[in-house]
Amino acid sequence: MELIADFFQRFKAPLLVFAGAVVPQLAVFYALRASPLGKTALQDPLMFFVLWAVVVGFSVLTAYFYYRLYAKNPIACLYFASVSVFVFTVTYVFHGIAMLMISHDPSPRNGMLFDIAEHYGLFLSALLFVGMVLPFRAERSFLYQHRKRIYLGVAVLLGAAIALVYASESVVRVLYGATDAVVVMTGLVLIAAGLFLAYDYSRSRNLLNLYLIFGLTVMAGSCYLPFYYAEWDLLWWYLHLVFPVGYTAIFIGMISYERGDLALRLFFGKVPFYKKIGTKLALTIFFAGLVPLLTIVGLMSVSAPNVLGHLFFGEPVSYAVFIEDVGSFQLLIFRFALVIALLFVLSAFFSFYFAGRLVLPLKMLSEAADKIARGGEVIRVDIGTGDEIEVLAESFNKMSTDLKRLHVGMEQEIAAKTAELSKKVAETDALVASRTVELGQERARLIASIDSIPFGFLIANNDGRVLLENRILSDLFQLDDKKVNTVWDIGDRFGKKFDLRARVEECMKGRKVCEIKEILFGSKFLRGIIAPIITGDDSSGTIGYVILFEDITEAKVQERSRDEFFAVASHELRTPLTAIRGNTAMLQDMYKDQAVDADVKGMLDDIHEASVRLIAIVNDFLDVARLEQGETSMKKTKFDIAEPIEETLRDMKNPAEQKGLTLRFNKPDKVLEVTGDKDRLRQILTNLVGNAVKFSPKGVITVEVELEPKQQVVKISVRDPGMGISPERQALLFHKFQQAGEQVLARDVTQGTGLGLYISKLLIERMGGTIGLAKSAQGEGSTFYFTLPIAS
Amino acid sequence: MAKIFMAEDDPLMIRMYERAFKTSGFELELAFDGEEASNKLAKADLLPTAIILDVMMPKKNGFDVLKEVKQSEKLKQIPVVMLTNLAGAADAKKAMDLGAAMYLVKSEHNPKEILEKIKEVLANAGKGGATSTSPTPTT
Repeated sequence: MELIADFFQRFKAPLLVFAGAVVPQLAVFYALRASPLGKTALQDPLMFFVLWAVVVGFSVLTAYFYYRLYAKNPIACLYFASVSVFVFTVTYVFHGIAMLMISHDPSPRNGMLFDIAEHYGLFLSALLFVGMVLPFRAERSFLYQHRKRIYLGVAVLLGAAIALVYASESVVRVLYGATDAVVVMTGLVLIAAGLFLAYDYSRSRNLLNLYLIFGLTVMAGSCYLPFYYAEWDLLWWYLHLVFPVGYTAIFIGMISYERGDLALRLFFGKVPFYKKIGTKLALTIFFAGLVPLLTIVGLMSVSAPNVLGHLFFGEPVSYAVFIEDVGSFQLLIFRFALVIALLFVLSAFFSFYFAGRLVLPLKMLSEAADKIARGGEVIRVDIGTGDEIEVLAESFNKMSTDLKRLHVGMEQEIAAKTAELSKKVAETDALVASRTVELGQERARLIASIDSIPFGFLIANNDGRVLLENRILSDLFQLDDKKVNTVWDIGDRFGKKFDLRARVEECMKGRKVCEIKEILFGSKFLRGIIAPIITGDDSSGTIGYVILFEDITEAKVQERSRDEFFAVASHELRTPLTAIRGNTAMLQDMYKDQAVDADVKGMLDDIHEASVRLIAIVNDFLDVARLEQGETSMKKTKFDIAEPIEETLRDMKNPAEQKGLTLRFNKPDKVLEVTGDKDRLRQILTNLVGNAVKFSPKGVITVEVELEPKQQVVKISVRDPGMGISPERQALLFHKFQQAGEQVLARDVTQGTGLGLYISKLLIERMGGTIGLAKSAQGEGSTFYFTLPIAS
Repeated sequence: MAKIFMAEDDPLMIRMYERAFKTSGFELELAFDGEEASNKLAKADLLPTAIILDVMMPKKNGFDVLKEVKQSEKLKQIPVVMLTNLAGAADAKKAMDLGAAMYLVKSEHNPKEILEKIKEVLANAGKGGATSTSPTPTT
């Protein structure tokens, strides 16, 4: 059972084809046998030549296509098909020639030649068909290389054979004697070929084989010949029907063959349209071929009404009557119908031809375009019409190729990007894992850091919830560790003295760090800093804020004691000095009559001067201390720079003139307004002019003012004609306790504390100016300068 | 004779200024601390022509006394001179803001000069004005 199932599976298609060929054939055969046609010898010369021409044309084309097909695709069976059809064509041409000879001279010899050409041609052709299925594929290169010579050889042999037959009377007789046997043999050979093909198909599933099987099986109908030889008219009809049908099947098979599109391209241009309409074409040719047959049957049913009855109901018919009754009118209509049928076949053929050349290329292009649009599939359209459509198709193909390249490029790029992305994802995963660990460490580090800083520290979100606080902060405000604290809870601890909430809102609104210098919290003083946490470059968003509280109680206490010290120092030091100074002054003033002794007078004067100088020293020390600690406040006003200069020079005039010095002020033409503390400025001028007086034996001390527009400052210079300052001492100027021009250990104690320039420097810097030595050379005097910002 | 009211705690100073004022023809009434100054001024039948206040005094400092004087309907017209050894500019400013007529640093002036300044203040008070001399420490 399995064997049968397997056999059926393997030979299902050939068996079906065989059945499809045999069953209609038998039906046609027995229909013919039953019909008057099968018993009618219709040997009209015109009809013969029309059919003859169709068969010759058909077979020439078939031979040619198979040959060209083989040239493109060297499979031996194609070559054998071509040679086979070629042999048939040549013999069939000879068959036609014989018919002409009969018309001219209806001798028995011509009749013999007529039959020999037909029967032996078919036989040779069938033999060669067998060659198609023989395993010649291994030798195909030899076959292919000599394909033209072999063809030529076949033609020469055939020509020689025909010549021999024509020339030799005995050969004619021998051959003629076997004509009918040859037809039977042809059928057997074709059956054998069909079996080979079926077997071949079971292995290779070659669609061409199925068509060949069909065609050969149909032609193999000639095997019936011995059985129905007595009914010669029937056989004539039958044989002349089966061979064209068989050839048609083979031809259709050829054009439907997977490589058959080449044959079509050669004829129709490079349009494998049969893929779409091959079936329709085959059916059309088939039905077109049936038309003459049906016409004849129809005509006969008109002339002999009982023909159809005989066909279907087996009524007896007089054949002799038919032939005789066929009048010239019927014959004319018959011929006319035949021509119409041929025209029909031709028009069907040409409509497909033009469709192939014009409509189909466009259809193919549009379908191909659709395909490309749908799937990015690569489509090539081969159109060999040789006209604008081909140009269009070539452009289309170029576009398709470009698209393909692009597509491939894109796919590669996508693949590369995908790979890159997966790599990135993997890397990111690894990174995330390591970052998570790092983050944990980072957090631990952060908490340790904020716990170690000596301030109360907290981070709050925008709603005021405390996200993170350090120990110092929780201790300071006695926060409950067990609950979530808010900034407002902390704010409440301050009571009414400080509104934390208001300050936080203010800072968040302004998006800047705020400092609250002093908050009284219980017995403590705190300094607060509120810093919004700004995200993004545009500072558009804040995610919360940081608050720092520094306990400044200690610093505050120190500051207070420092203030105390200044007050006490200035008061307690000055008061006794004031008493000395005041009392000696009164002695000098009110009791000068009683102090007549020059020594007593001198001592009083010295005491007074010492007290004054001591007061000055105390003042300097306190000044320096205050300036260094930033305790001194400046009363900044706008004023004309000339005013303090003139005032100072007026005050200094007496001491200068006592030394024989002249003070000169080169007053500028216009008023130069500056910003600064006028009293402090006078102090600086007094210091500089005082120094100039102190260190100049004689000459002119000049004060100059210039505007420096670039720096927006006024520059005041004090130039003296004194002893000058050596370079090594210049570096020590403006430092504490340094008086240039004097040895450190050989100080001239009468010249003051040496704090003057240092105080001047501190003061001018507080006013936003600079002070320096412009130039100095020993023996040539010195020039000091300072600058002050121009009043805006 | 014009009467000058002086609050001063340091005997050295008191003696020195007494000597100076004696020769000038001013009658000097003294208080030795801030509280005494406040009480005496509050009870005084005969108002002084000028009040001189030290700043650093026991019990009550000079600024507080100055405040009381300026808040008292009876006393506020009397010119007040602050005479102290506090040389800070901030102290001088504070005194002037509280309504002192003058701020003098003791160590900067001989007693004779102090007398000149008082006379100046009295002259200005007569005109209804007030002068201030800021301390100008010199090197």
